[in-house]
Amino acid sequence: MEDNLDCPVVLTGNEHSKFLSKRYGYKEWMISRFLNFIPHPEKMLDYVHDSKNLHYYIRVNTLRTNPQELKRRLDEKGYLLRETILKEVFEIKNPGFGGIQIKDTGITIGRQNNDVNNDNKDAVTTPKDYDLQSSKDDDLGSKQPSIGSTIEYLKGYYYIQDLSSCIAVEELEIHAGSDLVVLDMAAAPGGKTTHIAQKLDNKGAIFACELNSNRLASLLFNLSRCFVQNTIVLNIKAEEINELELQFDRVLLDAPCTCEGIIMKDHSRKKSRNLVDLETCSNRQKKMIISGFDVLKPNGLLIYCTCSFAPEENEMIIQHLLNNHKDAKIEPLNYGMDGLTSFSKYQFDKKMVHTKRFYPHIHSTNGFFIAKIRKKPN
Amino acid sequence: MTFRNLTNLEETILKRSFNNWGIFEIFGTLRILTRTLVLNATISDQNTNVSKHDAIPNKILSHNSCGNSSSNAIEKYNNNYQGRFHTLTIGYSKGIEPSESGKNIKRTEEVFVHSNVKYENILFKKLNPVIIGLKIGTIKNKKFSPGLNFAEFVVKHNRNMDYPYVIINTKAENLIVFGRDIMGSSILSFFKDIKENQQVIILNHNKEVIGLGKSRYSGSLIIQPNIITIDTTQDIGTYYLKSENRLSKSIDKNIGHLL
Repeated sequence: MEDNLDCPVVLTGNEHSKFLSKRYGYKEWMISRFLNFIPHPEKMLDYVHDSKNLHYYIRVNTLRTNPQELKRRLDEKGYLLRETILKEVFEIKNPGFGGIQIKDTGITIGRQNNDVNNDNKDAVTTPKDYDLQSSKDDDLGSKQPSIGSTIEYLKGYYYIQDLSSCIAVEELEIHAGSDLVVLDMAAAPGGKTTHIAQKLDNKGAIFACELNSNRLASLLFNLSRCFVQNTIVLNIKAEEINELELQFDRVLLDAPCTCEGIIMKDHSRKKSRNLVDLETCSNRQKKMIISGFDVLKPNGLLIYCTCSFAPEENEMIIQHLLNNHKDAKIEPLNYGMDGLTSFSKYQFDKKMVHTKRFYPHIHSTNGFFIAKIRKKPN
Repeated sequence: MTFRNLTNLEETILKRSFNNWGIFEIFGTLRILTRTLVLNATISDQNTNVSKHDAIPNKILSHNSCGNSSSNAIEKYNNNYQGRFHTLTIGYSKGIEPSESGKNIKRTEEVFVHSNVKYENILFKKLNPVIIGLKIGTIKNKKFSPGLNFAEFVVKHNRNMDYPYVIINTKAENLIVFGRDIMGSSILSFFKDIKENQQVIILNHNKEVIGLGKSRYSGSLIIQPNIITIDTTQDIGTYYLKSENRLSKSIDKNIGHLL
């Protein structure tokens, strides 16, 4: 595919997209796009519209405890934990009265326990093969204090983090205690950084970049809470990382994006973003992925992810990398639905099918995109 | 201010502390770095009513530490704050040892543990990182003040519990994370040689660090009912919140000064 991409792609709406945008409170350009590339788009809109469908996950910090021990302690406190495809990640069915404060987006998800009950999940979840959970809902028990205010949380025994984010780190192929040097290009608030640290068992080194000084505090807080000792935090523009003349075994680029995938947690994003934002994000992501790939060692791995559905922030970014680096190779991932091989008039590389997408109504996670890129050896 | 290896004096101070807390054997296994946090002027100006503990922002100091006393940043700072401090125009030799005229200035050094030993100081100077590794405490006035992360090391490595501690009940645990002090009746067990005005590690019934405190009494007087016997100085709840707020303000402040 040529690199001369029209970004963003504007798709013409119709009566149906107008109706849906009015019904669910989105901008129409978003809906007209969703109808083109999201599987069962109306089911997703319906699913996202209902906050009862929100799922909460916690990742056990194995630097401080182990999954069995934490599960036992939280069970004793009345929390209902369900296993997921990742052994250190649990879905929490009753995150607590008052809900979870999502500080970084400034949102409070305030709900009572019974609201978490996911009665209509089966009705909208298709197909079963893609369901990442190992079990279904049970009775949710009594009201609990928020899962973000327990002693175990303050002690850093777990991190409240979406399953899809955990999968991104899982795909970095970090074996326990290996002496790898990892770059996290947009680190705050530290969910993935602390996950990498536990994968490395506090060995190796993580260079965590965060440009936004307001977000640095949350990163430092979480690193300290989770007892992470192998991180070097840099307040720099990730696009300029190559100026430091460092090389990395692994690069994680959880790129700043329009966050379409977390509309369920932040309804303001139905209307707060416009096509200019999409273009701005896309342009920055292109610069970031090139910089990240430049500092990758031969045979090293780069994971690119966003919490957006937009192909301009996902497949098109990967295509941009492939067009500019012949030594970049897409590798298959273990979870999620296949990435798009075409969008509008554009045809992507055949291997784009190996990138993966996550949808709330299918995977019970945030909307998410992950691509795994290996730099071919010299 | 850049991160650097320990000076001989700092190493001695830390070794003594590690020894006092019963974890001397792990000292050699850790890579320990320090960074100057603030300068505190010991002489205050009565006219401007400036406290003797007013601090110079880190970034201003880092300019000074990189070269000699003629740094533009420090000059600018001194011009702006003329008359507030009597001893701020002093120079430093590479930011480590104060000059003759700087003896009245007391510094606080932040102490960090980093698990990777393969990176040299020269890289840290080049990168100018915000944080390296885990902060375990501070050195001030030739004395090490442990933080909660240091207490974690103590609890993990001193299995004999041969250090000042108190174990508190669950009710008190839930109050302490909101900064409350400890009543004698909340203490389930304690280090028998505890002294008055001694720093103690506050543990919950699972023997996990909940906070740090200072004892008001010695020995078994620590469990006197109905009175506060331990003042909580740091705890895992407010400690992190304060830390988060402080860092946020300090970072913004520093960036403002850089501009």
